Amino acid sequence: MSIKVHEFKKVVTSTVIIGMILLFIAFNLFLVFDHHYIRNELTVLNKMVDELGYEINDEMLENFQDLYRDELKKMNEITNDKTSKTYGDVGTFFEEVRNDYDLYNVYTHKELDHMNQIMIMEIYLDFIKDMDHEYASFDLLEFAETEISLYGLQGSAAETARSNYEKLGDRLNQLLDNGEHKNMFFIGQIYGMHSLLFKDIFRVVSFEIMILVVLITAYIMNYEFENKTPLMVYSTRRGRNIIWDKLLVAMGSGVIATTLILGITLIAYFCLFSYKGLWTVPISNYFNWEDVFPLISWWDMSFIQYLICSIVLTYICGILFTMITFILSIFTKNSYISFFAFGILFGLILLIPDIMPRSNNLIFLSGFTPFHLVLNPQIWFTGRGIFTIFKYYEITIVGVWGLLLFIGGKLSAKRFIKEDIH
Amino acid sequence: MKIVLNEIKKIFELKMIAIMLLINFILYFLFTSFHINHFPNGRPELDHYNIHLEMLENYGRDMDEEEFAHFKEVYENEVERANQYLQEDELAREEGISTYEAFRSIGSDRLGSYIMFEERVDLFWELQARESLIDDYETTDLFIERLYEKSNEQQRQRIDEVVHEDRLSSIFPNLVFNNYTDYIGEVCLAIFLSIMFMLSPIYLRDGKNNMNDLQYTSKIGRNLFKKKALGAIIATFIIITLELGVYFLIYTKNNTGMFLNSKIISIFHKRIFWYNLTFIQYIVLTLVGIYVMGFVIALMVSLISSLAPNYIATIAIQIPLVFFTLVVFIPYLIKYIALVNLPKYSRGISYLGLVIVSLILMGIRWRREKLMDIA
Repeated sequence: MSIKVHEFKKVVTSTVIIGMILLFIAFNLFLVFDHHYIRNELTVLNKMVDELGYEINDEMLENFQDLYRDELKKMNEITNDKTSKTYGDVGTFFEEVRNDYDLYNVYTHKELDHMNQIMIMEIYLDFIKDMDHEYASFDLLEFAETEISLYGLQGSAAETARSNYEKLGDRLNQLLDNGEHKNMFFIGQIYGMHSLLFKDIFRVVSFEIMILVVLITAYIMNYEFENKTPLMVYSTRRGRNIIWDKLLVAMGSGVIATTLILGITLIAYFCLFSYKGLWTVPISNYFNWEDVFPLISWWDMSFIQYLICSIVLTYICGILFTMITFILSIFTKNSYISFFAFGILFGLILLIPDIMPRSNNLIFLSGFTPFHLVLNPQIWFTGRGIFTIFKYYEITIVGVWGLLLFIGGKLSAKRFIKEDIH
Repeated sequence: MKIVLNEIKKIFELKMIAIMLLINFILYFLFTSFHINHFPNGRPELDHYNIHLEMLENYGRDMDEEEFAHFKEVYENEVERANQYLQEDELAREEGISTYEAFRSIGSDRLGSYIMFEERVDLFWELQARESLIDDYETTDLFIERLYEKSNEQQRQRIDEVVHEDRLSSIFPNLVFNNYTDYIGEVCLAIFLSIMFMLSPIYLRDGKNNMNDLQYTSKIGRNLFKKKALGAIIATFIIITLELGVYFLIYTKNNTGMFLNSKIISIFHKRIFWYNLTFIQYIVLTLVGIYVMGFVIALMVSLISSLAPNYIATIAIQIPLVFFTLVVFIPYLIKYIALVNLPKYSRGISYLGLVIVSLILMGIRWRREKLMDIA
């Protein structure tokens, strides 16, 4: 037990690692607060959901329209008072105000703010109006063909891609039957909250964790060599087995670092942007359709479930990277070289799909790596890109790589334990 | 001198060179090669490139009013040919479109995508490119006006100067410039990462081997700090020169040699620079920037190496440095080194400041080193 404690002390007393964690957290906070300006507009949805619920059905829509009409009437009372004009909708009001500075000055800030809130309701209503049409006119198979020709896939690879998109099509139909899409959420096309959280923030966090985990593992794995103690430590049976203690401590430290970085970043994020009332909204809702492709999760997940799964996957990726560095360190015996070896491995793995034949299913296999996983956290558990569309993409990567790294780790450790001292 | 030579030998350890080459290899195939393999990048960029070559051949380095009139004439002739094509094309006849003008006004529909993307008729792509060039030339005043609106006093003075001296008529396409800056940006990253990777162990290696205690006891040993710094500078020079040599050899594949003597301020380029440079002068300027920045980075890395307690620390401290290099140094101080987006002398001052600061820091470190007790 106490060996582990001492190994752990090596990490904790390293000012650089602590400094890195703090630096990364500061950077993430900056990243989150950089988007603070959309905060006020987002709260309109929280209020609406509070009154109407998030599920979009006929009853809710009726209530929504009533609410909107009430608000519009109130607004028209104000405008009638001040300029003796009334408006059919808030859009025309703002168009007029925008072009006329005098008119703009007639209203107080508070009034304009309130009207802006009604405007947002109006936008939501407009979006809902288009919803069925948008899904009806969305052609998944056409998208598939464009992707296939974009990457120049042929033969069996193209067939695999087609069948994958067909499966996704089935899931899309199931999703539409369930009504998962008929739910309120922040408008993706305007605020892009899904991208902000799961693309920008999670990707940055994943990279930070990767860097930290590699540094920590390389540091304690090579500690003896760099401090000229290997002759002593590795001359006994217990000493040789210290690498397992080191691995466990590296994993533990990685988990702690992940908890700190991810925890503080997410707490800051959810303090800034209120998700009150939205935690249980299905993730595959219409409003998460941010660009040309709707968000289609492979399973019926709520936002909170999706978030938890993403967090778990981030932790697991960190552990996989620890194991990769563990194996690399056994061979390099130098923390500096280990770090760069990891970087080179990362680069080479990203290059492999480019040299794969386009007509063979192997090209998909080359995309099944944890490196590809951390590059695209926004597509986790969903179908979209041609190389990541597989239903069990994430689980397969974690399972297969976990197993391979476990075996690889065992074998390299076996080799290490029998190595001569020189 | 012999010590310096040995220090350089220590820097260029075989294992380190191999890893440096691998890093360059990966960066090249992940990022840099794109700017070589995809130049000009599709259409209409290819047409822009070809038309600029034609302009260069017909009109020389500049295009005056008369030559522009000729350019328009060529365009009119090509429109005639396009009309003929449309009259003969079956689909066009079916759609009832017989002139190029009518073809343009219908925008992108069945016929448009048929001619442009399925048949890939060169003539139509070329016409599109010519139109945009003519438009550029004819809307010079508007461009200047727009630019004026978002400029400050100093920038406006420069813009006035450029307009007054009639420098906008140079024939220089922005795709060549964009391609070069994008390429050199990636090259910079590769070079700077190589320098950081090769130099990080320079002091640390001795420190880790407990050599310092031994070295500090003799006068020559104390002076090793300076010799190592000199070795770092020389090694940096070698790394930069070799890498630039290779990367520029690759760059010649892009075939932009004919633009080397063209002035880069041009209405077709749509960027204003503080100086009236030709493309080759601009390239040389960026190279000078790379050398100076390389030396600054070498000094900073040496400093970090002499202070850091272990290898992990050097890497960790350099991660913000890499970030800063990527976000500030490369774009502002190298890629767009003479662009009017920053005040005229800001780059010179930044370079001077960086050099002075890194020299001072190393100087302070050296003075401490001189007086350091053996622990």
